[in-house]
Amino acid sequence: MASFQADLPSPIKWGFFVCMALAVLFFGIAFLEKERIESDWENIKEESTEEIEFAVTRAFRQKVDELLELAEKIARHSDVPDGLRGQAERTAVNAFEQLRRHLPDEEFTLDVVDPRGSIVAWAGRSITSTYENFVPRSPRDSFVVILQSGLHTFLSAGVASAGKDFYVVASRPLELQYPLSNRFVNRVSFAEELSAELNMEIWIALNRTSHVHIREETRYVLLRGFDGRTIGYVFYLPETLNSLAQKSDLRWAVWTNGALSVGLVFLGIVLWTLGRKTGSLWWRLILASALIWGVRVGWRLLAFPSTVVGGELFDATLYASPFYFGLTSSMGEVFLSTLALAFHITAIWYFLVKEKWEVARSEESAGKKPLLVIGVFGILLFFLWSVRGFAEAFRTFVFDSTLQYHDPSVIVPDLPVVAMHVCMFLLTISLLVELQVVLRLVKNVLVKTFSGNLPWWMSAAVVFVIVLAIFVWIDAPLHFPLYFPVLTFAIGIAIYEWAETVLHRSFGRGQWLWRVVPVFIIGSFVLSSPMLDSKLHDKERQQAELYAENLLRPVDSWLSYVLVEGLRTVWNQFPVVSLEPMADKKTSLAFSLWAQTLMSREGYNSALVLYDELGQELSRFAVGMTTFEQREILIRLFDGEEEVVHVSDRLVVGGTAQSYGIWSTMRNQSGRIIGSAALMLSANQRAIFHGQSSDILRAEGGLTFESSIRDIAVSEFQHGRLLYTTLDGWYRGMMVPDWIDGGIAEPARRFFWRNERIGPKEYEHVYAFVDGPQRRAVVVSLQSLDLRWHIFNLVKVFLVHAVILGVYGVLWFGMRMRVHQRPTIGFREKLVSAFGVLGLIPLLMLGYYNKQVAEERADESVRKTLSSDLDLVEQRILNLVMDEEDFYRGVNNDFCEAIAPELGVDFAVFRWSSLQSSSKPELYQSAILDSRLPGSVFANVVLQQKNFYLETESVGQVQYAVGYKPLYMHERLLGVLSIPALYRQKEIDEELAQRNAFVFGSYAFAFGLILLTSIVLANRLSRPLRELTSAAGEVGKGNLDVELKPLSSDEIGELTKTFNTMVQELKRSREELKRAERETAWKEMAKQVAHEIRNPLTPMRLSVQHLRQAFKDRVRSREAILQEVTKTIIEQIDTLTRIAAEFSNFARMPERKFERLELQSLLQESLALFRDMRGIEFRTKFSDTPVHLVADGDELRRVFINILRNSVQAMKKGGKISVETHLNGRQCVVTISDTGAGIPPEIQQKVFEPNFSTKTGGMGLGLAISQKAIQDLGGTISFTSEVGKGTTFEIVLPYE
Amino acid sequence: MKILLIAGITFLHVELLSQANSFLDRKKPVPIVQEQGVKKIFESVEKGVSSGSVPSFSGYLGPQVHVNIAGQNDGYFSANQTRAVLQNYFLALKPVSFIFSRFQEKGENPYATGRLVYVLKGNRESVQVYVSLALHDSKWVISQFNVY
Repeated sequence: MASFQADLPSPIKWGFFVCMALAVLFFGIAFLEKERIESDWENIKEESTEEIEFAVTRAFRQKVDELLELAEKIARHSDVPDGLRGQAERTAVNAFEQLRRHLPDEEFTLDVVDPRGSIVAWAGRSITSTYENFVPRSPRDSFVVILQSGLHTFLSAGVASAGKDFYVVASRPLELQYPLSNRFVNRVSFAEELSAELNMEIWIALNRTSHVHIREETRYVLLRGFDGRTIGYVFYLPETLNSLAQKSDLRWAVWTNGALSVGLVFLGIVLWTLGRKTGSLWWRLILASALIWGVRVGWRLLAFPSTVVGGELFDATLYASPFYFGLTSSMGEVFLSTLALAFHITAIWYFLVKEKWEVARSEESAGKKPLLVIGVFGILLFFLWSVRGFAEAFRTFVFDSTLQYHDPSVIVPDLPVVAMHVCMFLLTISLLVELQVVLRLVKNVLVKTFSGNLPWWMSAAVVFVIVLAIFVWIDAPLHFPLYFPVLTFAIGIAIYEWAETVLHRSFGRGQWLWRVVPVFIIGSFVLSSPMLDSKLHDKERQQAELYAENLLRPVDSWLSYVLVEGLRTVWNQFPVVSLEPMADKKTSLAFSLWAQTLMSREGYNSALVLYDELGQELSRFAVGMTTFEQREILIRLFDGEEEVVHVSDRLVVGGTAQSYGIWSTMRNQSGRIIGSAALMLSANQRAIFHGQSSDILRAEGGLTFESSIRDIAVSEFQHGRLLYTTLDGWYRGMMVPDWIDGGIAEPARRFFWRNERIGPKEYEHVYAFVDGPQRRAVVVSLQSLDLRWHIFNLVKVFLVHAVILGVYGVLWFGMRMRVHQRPTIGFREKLVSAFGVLGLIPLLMLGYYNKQVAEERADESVRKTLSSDLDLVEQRILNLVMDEEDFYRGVNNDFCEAIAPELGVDFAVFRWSSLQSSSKPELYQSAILDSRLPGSVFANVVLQQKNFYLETESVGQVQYAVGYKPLYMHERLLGVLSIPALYRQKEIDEELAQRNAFVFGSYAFAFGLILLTSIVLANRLSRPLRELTSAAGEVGKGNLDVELKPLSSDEIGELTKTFNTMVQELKRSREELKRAERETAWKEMAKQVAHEIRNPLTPMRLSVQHLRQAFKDRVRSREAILQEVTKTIIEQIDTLTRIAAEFSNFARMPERKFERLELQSLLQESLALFRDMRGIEFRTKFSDTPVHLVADGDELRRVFINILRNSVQAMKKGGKISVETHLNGRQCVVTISDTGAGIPPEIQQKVFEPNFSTKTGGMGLGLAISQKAIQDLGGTISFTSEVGKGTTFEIVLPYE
Repeated sequence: MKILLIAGITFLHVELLSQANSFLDRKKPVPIVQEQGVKKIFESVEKGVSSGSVPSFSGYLGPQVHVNIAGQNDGYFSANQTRAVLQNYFLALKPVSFIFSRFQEKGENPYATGRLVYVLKGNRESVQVYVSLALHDSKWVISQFNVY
């Protein structure tokens, strides 16, 4: 436990406990909250009702106040009323322009009305033709009203001017009334805003309530005008006890799960810290795997972070794929899973590299050679399975998603696409790292079991090719292009070799990983781009097949169903809708019902006609069907039975068109007939599910195939001949290719693909056949993408990788700052940045300039086109119209619809400020386009009589240009002609997108080239400086054999030569110094030897002299004296012998016996000699990782024993000795500490000097010998000591 | 042993992201859809929708299914996405009952439609469900799933 506490960093411990505590807390709060709701339900209900009422009233008030403020600003604090009071046209024009400038955005409408309610000036779309019923009669100076107009319900607020001669009415849409919702229709909903704010279902009834479905438990809040009049109702279903309790549970469950999820991560770290010390490398790998995936699965089961983050990242409609535990059920889940995968595989690789795991040496595994070979084959086969899995994963990223990876209209991909690219990046990284593991294993086996001259990677490649052949045989047809695994393998080997180079440079722990990451990122880009392209191409082919299949399908069932459902909708909605107030009921009623039918959503050319109980036409709305067509179908319809679908074929330009119709009477609840309805639908062969009506009237969603960047053409063969085609280069009537007959004979195959070059373009055709008397074959042709599109797509993928590389760069920079305490940017990097910036700035300027020029040209082109189109239409009309009366009566919708196809342009005619007729009446009838002439156009064309005026208008989110021209006859203004570019907006958008794509691709390519050149130049320029730096480092380490070759004759070359000279001088000085030192050392040694030898010689001489004297004097005790003298002489001889041995040990040339040994074992053995010492406590703390090094075991042991003995001797009264080891990069640090007397500072300098000793009888060579031994091993020995506290020796040794 | 362990870990990773047609999937028995008539498919759909269980009929989803859930999603989705979209939809509302009331089993585009009754936030609501089939690779698959 103590060890656990000591090992775990505090933040981890605290993190774990805090998270668990929070989880318990949130759970408790949820429980208490639920109890509180149940016990205090009545009060809560009441409070909730009050809050809702307050919120609704406040929200409505805010909208009203905003409009009032705007209206007041114009009415009382601007020149608009003055301008309108003026008589001159110029002042009126100014008033219009000012009014236009006051418009906050295109959503708003500003009308200036006189006291009778007539509109005298306006800006924005029309709401109503008169405010007669709303202008207050009383002296009140403001009013609020809700009006229905077209698709929306509007909130209007009016304020009187100072003189009360005008009212300024500001309006904005409050609610979209119809389910028609696409980018051309402003989707605004007050009910949805309130629903989001109050988190409950809200619906609004404005002006009438009779058709609102009210349940018993429904509550409402009144919306009132200034006079207290009710102008609307906001309905809501109050919370029930259950629903509120559920909401509370859900809310707190999110927090609880969040805390548990974060706690899970800390728990994983805790378990890892506990478990990693026990067991082998393999146990640690299993533990790491279990923990990583345990946390991942735990997060999924706790629905974290999907319930917290939500949004597009976790939307199944963007991406969803099945896997266990839902680990890939959305983009967000895939991101987390691929992150876990990448982390897991990298951890495996990191451990294997760090532990230097390898297969046993060849002499030990000789008998297992065949097994190892099979193992290699097996590993490579498994790797190919990984590649297969990788390709399948990419397949799901494409096929199971609705993302447009290569949307031509955007340069920078949006967030969901970027998220998927990141997932692909992580997956590719995982594959590459896995390959590193595989190559490590393969290399180990190949190197250890086979000898030869071939590089290992060549042998590996040969084996890989054989295994690939086996795999192709097993798994055909392949799920990936054949070149892909070969490319992957090649990149893997390149990365492997690079990583080995980096490793051998002995960077610190973990640093080598940082340095190889950029190579992985680049490798990922190289691998993932072609795989993505390949899968996108496959998907396009699948979509083409689906499209062809749809075209072949007989239409009866589906279109019949569409009609029948449409009729059902009309039955249900007619009684409701017919009671709503509508400005123009004649078209609005039919449109209101049509917009709710299935045929409108599917975008078919269709029509709905309503009749009253007397059979009189009540209302009509039609899209894409002329009056003539409608009449033909209606005649046939009413001849037949009601509620029966009638079908007829018509031959039209471009193919055949089938017309469907159904009619029925409508009855009220008592069975009385209240009217009848007829629905018609026309669909030609080409567009079966999504008809020919323009995008404007089609709801969002639906088949997006047509929005592919490829051009698509459709053709149909019948009876062996081409019936129709939209493909340039094919012609009607051409014979079917011969091989098709053979294809039709193969009933199992439905689709055939063929490539064909037609002129400069390459096409991929898919032929689809159907059995039948007509022998129909449909061909969908996809134009192949040219190089520019491929570059554009490649650049977009590269952008994502560049961002990842940038993020990595920032992290790496931050790490370096943390380590070095100051930013370090190399000279080469500075050069690259400088060149890059110098290249990028002009590119950006050029790009901006080009964009401006392109947009101006596009605008000018649109202006010219519109102007010439207007002239053309004007000419045509004036040629056909005789006089003014003929113009007003004859230029109607049919007239416009008839001449528009001939001229190839759609147009509208305005009489004064109102729409007279149009070639696309449904767009005005449906109020998508405004039937009122814009105020600024009225001012410029009608009042100022400009011959051409261009206005930028917007409908929904789309902006488009409209050209206006006055129509004169006999110098009398008949009306205003308008041609919007909206109908060609799609082509304009596509053209712009294409231009952007190509320009962006070109610039990105140019920038890439600049960057590459910068790197090459920077490398070349900085190389001499880097070599100088490296050489200076070598000199600093003591290596004076460095010599650089000057590569140039400039200043750098001179610097190199000077450096060489300096090094030579240093070398010479060092040699001289060494010689002097050696001489001094010898002198010292000789002095010491002489001194040491003299010591024992003196007593020897004295003894011999004493003996001689004793024998000379014939002393009685001369025998005893002889014994004593001989004893003395022998002792002194022993001393001399010892002295000689010590000096010999010190001076000897090492004849060491090197062996590979384990440092910690050696330390344990040394400690074992002293364990029995009484009074001394030994503590050891060794690093987790065993430390191996090559050294003379005996010598190293003597070093440790020497130091330990010194420590023991310094603690005569007992104490503690601690021995620790830890790793610092590629070095092992051994510390031996004692609590002895310590070494006084004045003698610390001399401790390592030979012959210095504080002990009697010591030679003082122990530490000197130890230091020499350590230094010979490339290490260092040092110490710190404090008197009274103890001494710590630190030995640093490099290890393997 | 160690090599096998590494290989095993690697293999597991392969299968983690091997979606359709994985090595394991290949060994699983493939449902013989050809033998299920149109009626059988509609029965599976009916059963699945009434219990809010998409897996009951997800095996019959075509490679591209047109899904239209009123007010929410409208578009073509892959079989996997369709499964997820419908699963999410049924999770949000609690189906009470569902029966196909009309069938068109003949022809090349059979369809069925019925009323789904569910409870949402304590309130009983209903929507119309339309399902149509199409032939794909000689098998009947669900090609359209609309909720109005």
